[in-house]
Amino acid sequence: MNRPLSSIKKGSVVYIQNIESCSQCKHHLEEMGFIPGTPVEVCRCCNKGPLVVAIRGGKIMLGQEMARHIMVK
Amino acid sequence: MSALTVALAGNPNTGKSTIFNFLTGARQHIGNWPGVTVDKKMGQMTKGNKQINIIDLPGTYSLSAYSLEEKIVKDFLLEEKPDMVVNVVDASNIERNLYLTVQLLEMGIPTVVNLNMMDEAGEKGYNINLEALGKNLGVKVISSVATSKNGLNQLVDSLDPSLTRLAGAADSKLLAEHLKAIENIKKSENNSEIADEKVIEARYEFINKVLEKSLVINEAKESWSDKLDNLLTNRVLGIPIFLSIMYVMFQATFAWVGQPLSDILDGFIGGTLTDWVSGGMESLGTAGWLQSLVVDGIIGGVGGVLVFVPLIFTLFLLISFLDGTGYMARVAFIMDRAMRRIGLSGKAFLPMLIGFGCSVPAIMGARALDTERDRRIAVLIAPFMSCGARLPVYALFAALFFPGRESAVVLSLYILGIIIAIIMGLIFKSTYFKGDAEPFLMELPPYRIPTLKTVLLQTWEKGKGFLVKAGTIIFSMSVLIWFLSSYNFSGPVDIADSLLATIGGVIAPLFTLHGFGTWQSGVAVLTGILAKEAVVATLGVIYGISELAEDAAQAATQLQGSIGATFTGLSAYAFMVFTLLYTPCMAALGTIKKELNSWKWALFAAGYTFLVAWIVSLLIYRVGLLLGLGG
Repeated sequence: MNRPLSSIKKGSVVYIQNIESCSQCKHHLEEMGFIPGTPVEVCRCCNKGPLVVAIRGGKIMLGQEMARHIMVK
Repeated sequence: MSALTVALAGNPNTGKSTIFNFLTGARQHIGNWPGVTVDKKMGQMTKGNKQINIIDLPGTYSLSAYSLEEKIVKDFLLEEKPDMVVNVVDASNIERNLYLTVQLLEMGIPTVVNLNMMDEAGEKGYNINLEALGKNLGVKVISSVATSKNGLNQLVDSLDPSLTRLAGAADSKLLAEHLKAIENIKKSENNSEIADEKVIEARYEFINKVLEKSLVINEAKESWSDKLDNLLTNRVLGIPIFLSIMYVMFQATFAWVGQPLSDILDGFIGGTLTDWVSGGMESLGTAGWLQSLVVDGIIGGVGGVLVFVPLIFTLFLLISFLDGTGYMARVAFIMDRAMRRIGLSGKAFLPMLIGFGCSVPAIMGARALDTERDRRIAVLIAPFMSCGARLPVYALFAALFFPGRESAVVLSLYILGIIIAIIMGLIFKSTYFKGDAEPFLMELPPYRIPTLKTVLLQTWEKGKGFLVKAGTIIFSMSVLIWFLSSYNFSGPVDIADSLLATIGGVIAPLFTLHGFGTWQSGVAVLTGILAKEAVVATLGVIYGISELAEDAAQAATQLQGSIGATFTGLSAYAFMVFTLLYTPCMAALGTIKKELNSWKWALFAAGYTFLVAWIVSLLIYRVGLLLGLGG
């Protein structure tokens, strides 16, 4: 089942399914490597705050809002 | 033979600046890209008998015109057509970094890929086969560790367009396939959004195919960067650790290094230099008015600002260092949640903090924000952070009217500034600047120790504007104020009959309801727009302190009789509140104009802060009177 990235526990590795977001943010996220099928590890999260994820060999900080629009499995 | 133009392109945090500094040394200058406030760094180097112009493009993740920087880079590459591009790639983050590389290859510009930070890649367990990488990308690839200058001579050898293979040439089968694939997508897909998505996917597919043939990942050493992050971005400890670091930074600036140096400079300018100049002019028989102009006007005014230079450079040096270590990105992370409530992202926190030192770098710091909306809000509320120059005003009045309770009174003003900034943030968010704060998306760079050269160059870049301002705006304003305080239309007069007093008298009625409607306060408010430290200096001159006392307590005794007669405790507090909140100084207004690239916004900032100050100060005075605090 698809869930938003914001709901994933620290330490889990999940796979990106799709991004529901404004076209510009979506485009930006995709360019940063958030493409369907890409594995993402949640390194740091806290409720309502931003997250740190490891993706494609680098780390990225993501606001809670954005993470809510990234659907993962 | 005409000069060669080489552009440096790459993601942020790849060591591009270090490479640029190595190549050009001191032969560089910084301008602005047309119409925007992003720095344009250019430099020259000589190779053999050839002159090479180097342009350091802003760090970007792609060429999609998502941000201002990306648009600048794209436009530059398309319109100015450099002879070649050196694409600086962080080898330890190669997969994402190659995204920009692929876009450059698609544009067909002669490109050399410089894999930098090979040491960090090694620690991460990355084993990169340079030859295979170059062969599959279809370009020349070299490697370097820029911080220790390893491999940079090889880069200099490669600055020759004939040595780069043209992208798109049949050298790489994979690249040829990729170019064909995106051509097909563009032909067959009419919906541009879906086409864009497919192109992005195709690029990463190409990158993965290239890396399959050229990258082996071995087991990584345990990363100390991760361990440090667990501590520094800890939910409980993150903020206290951050506050401690800030405390040390401000201590270093205001107590250990910056202030003592400023005091020495102040002693020199106010003592030795003044004596020497007035003595010299005396012996030459210079006219009295000219002596007064040079000594009281120029040395007093420009010198009064120059004494802040050590303070400002110390603060900038520490900030540049912290910035170089990657810690600032963590600060944005831990503060994001709180900042979001006032309609800004975590990235906007830093400029606010710097504002306690000085509004000018705070306003400049808002550059780091990605959207125009966020930049504007941050610039408009940053001046409410009580800067160092306002402190002397509080120190003077608190010592005079609230003996024994100075710290509490001064602290209350700092807190009031923060509260007003929050309220204004909320108001802006729900009125003119509707909408959400920019989505927070930022790379988390590994911790690094910046090179001394990079830190020093950055400090100089940030601080030199201050020196320029002292020589231009402050210089001319000082002359003007001196003139106004020494003359009226009939000739040289006492300050009480001067044009300045007349002007102060015009302003004074504005503050009748506030309890400080005297021409003296009017003048102090006016000169405070020149520079906030001028408020105390002006009051000192007007109330006849022979030499502006360094020590607040000493000044308080001197002023006791004179100011005590015109202010009550309550009106003094209202005056302090007004000083805290009203129109930013000229230097800050000039910076606002420069950063927002608009006189309209600078004037708005000047006007609305004055209005806020007028209202808040009035409320405090009137409510205080009602509560019977007027005594």
